[in-house]
Amino acid sequence: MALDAASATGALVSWSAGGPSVGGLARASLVAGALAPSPAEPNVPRKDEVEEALASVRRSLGVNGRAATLILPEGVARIALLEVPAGLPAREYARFRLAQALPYPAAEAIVDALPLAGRRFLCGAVRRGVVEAYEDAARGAGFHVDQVTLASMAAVTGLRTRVGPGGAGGAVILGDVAMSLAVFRGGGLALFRSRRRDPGDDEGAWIRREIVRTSALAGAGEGEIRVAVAGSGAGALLRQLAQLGCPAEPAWPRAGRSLPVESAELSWLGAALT
Amino acid sequence: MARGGPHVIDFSTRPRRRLWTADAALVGAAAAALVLSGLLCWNATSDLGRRRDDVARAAREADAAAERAEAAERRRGPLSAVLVAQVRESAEAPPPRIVAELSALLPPEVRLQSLDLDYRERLVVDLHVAARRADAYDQFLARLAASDRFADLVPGPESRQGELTASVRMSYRGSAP
Repeated sequence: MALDAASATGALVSWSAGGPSVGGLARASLVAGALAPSPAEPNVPRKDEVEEALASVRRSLGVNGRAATLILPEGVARIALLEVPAGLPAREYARFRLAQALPYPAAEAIVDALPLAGRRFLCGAVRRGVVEAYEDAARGAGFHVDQVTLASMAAVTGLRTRVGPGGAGGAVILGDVAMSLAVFRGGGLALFRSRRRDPGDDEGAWIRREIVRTSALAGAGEGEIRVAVAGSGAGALLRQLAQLGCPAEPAWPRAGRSLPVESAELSWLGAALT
Repeated sequence: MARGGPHVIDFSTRPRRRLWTADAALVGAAAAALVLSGLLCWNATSDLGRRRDDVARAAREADAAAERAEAAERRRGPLSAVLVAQVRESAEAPPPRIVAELSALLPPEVRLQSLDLDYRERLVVDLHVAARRADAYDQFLARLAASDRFADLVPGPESRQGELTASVRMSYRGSAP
């Protein structure tokens, strides 16, 4: 299940010989202020409302006691793409490098690293107290939390399978309050940046400028890479980018079966199907 | 997610645990005792080594200070000459250039914590660094010593509580031969 400022979403993922598949999907809206993604501040000020939304999702999916992955929203973690020196444990090195960028004591950080190509890792740090609040809400709603991951890391997991060996591409991963930009070159993740969102009529133009800047930093010129969009508000952003002359496409194709939301609106869906 | 992959990302506050048998618990306790005794032994040895290093370092610093005092005595001249030198140094070695040249020498496991630049007749650089491992710090010192940009290297006190932190003092000689 995934939580963000505006909603709680759950997907029933099954594994079979044919690979993983989404067997069901449910979403419950959250009132404004019930959940506020942030790296340092309390994220779940209205726990009862968040629990009720998650319980509603659980009932809709018809699950009880099954191991579940909790996906934390964009904006709760400090994430960095790091080249880990040979022979060093990635998590330990990530903790050392991320420590200076954390807005809270480094000892409070839970750190993990997603292995990419070679010694390159996408590393994240989340404040322990922040994770605990999400876990408590999920358990209070009757979920058995087996694993906790980040929406942006789940999105990268899905996106990298869509960028073939030697391939290039850009991605905008949207959360309700924050977003990430990823650029793939030579088949691997070359650059990763995170930003708070700036909702409004100009957000499309602002994100387009961020895409151009991020691509340039990764060594790609404007228009050289195709941009994929996933996450909250992906449909609206795709329309705005099209009007601005920036070709973009949904990160995930439309699901074959009927889902209550478009696939591209769920940034983590690609990982569920990987 | 990605259950078939070799690494499962997990930010749980209570990561999944495996059931331990009594034998495994006993082996673990024995290993912990062994590690603890090794650590105590290593600590005692390294403490002695550190104290010897401190004495040697203090002697080096005293010698360096005496040499600097003598040099200053020899160089003492009109105040205007000192001011001219300060202006020349600050123009030829602006802080961004010093930071860039230091950054190029930092190994991946060493980060710069603070930097003091003292523009005198020569630019004196005083910096504090943190290193994940002692040998990374040693590598940084070796790079500084080998660099033609910095001279008169004087390593300062080191603290090894958790990561290693240390101070280094040196002078900047820039691109001059």
